[in-house]
Amino acid sequence: MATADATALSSPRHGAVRRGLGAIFTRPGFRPGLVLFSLPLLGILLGALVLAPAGMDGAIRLTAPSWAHPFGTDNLGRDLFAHVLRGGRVSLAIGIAVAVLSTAIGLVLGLLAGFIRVVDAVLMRIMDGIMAIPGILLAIALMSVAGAGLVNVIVAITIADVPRVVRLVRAMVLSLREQTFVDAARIAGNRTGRIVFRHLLPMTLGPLAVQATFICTSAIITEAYLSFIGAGTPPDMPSWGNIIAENRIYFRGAPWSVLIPGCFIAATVLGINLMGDALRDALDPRVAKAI
Amino acid sequence: MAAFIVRRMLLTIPVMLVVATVVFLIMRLGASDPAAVLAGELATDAQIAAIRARYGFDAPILVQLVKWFGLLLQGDLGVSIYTQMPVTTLIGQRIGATLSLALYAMTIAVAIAVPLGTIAAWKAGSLIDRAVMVFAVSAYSFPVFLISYALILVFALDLGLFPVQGYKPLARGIGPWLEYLTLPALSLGLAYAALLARMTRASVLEMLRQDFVRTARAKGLRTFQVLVRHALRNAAVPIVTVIGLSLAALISGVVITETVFAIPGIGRLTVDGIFTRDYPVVQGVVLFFSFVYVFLNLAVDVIYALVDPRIRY
Repeated sequence: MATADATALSSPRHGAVRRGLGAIFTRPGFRPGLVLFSLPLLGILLGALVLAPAGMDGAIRLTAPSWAHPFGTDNLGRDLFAHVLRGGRVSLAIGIAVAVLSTAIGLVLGLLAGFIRVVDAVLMRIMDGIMAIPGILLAIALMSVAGAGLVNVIVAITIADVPRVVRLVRAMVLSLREQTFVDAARIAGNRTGRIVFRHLLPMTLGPLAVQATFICTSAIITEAYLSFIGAGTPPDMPSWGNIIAENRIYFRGAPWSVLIPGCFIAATVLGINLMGDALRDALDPRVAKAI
Repeated sequence: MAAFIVRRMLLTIPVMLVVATVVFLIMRLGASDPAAVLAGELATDAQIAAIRARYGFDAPILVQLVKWFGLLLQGDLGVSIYTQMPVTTLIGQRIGATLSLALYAMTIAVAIAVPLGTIAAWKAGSLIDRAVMVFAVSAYSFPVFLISYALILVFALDLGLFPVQGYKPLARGIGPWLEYLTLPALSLGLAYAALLARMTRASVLEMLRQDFVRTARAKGLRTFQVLVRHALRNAAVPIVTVIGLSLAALISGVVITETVFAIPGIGRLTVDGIFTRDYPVVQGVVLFFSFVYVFLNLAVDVIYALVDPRIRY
């Protein structure tokens, strides 16, 4: 058993993975990023296990942070500590859902556009059109007709983000398909489908993972913006954005009710961005030198 | 050069057609029944039917699309349901505030980002460089409203240097205009500066490795001259491109900043349109901003070709 493990650990593939992880971990921004992201994440996870949803108590409206209420209370007398940690679940879920969906949809469309000329001509014109609309406005337009709701927010932000992934995948496929290893695979008798899935797809995954981290953070911010202007998640579903939206009229007397959820967004987004930068630099050391 | 400019301008026509179609389809297909959305939750079936007939929602979708293109070509963005005024008039009334905010913010962003990015590139790897990069990645990660509220807390509520909210048009004098617009422009400008500083650093760093910079140094020029006259000047093209590409970020920032500071601009018009379910306004503003974005990118491309004689299309 021990011998089998030792063999597995010393296999070239395992070594490459370990070196890769090491390269990411030693990048300057990765560790601070991990810490920044872990703090709100731990809070959200522990909050989900331990804390009950914040109840309303008219007697303690808008009280400043104290030992009993570390983040203070909001206008309805809800404990902001429990409320913000609960809101984090929604914000983070939206970020992750948008990242996964837009990467998956963009990957499929990008592969199609890269390989089928007719699809490319039509699809890319549509993508150019969608990209010409600033993402937040596209989401605002969608939300204004679809109405507040978690699924609507995810769909609206995903539609705005898909073209960016399609462009990236298409560009990679177009350059990769001219490489000699693709010719070699073709000469060896592989079908197009196999070439795409066995040879091209794995090479696009690194840059896609980087893109996914940036989509995740921009989705968290876009959700906050949408909720802030009243076109995001419904008020009965707390997210960092709509907690800020609910409390902003009390900012003068209770700045913590806006700044604390705002800091949670900032820490999460900054953490993920730093890790995304480290991942990008580790995957492409040339970029690391330039930027 | 003229041929390139004409070709580049012609290329924007299909993009704008697709933009208009996408916006149209979102607004028509996004809701199960646009007439019901317009009528509100308390409307009767008869009222909904009347709205459907009045706005032509009962016609086939292709007919509606062609009609909408016809109106757009005449510069007609529709009529607001809430105020019964043309959307173009509403935009016209508010464009001054939005333009003031955007230009002031961009000026602040360039004033912060270009020197910071250049110094960071010059001292690459140093503590200053790291500090600039930390600023860049942080300001980029912070939601605009967090920066806005932090600035309000310190400069308006604590120090009392600026008003908390509101707007005074330039016609009322430059003093009040600056007084009301400085905090909003600063919060928007800081986020934008983060993007620009990163790009300036990368472009200047690239230029500093070029032979002509070494030649300039070998001629005995002072560092300042090498940096500004040679490196920065040649790095200007990619920086201008980034200014164009990140205009989308500026536009979304405008919507949020106008909401925080209660500035009566186009962003605020959008938000009011969402609250009053005034969907011709939302549709008109989205289209307006998208066209502005397409045109500004066209302008950036043309400037790009004009300032850099090496670029041949």
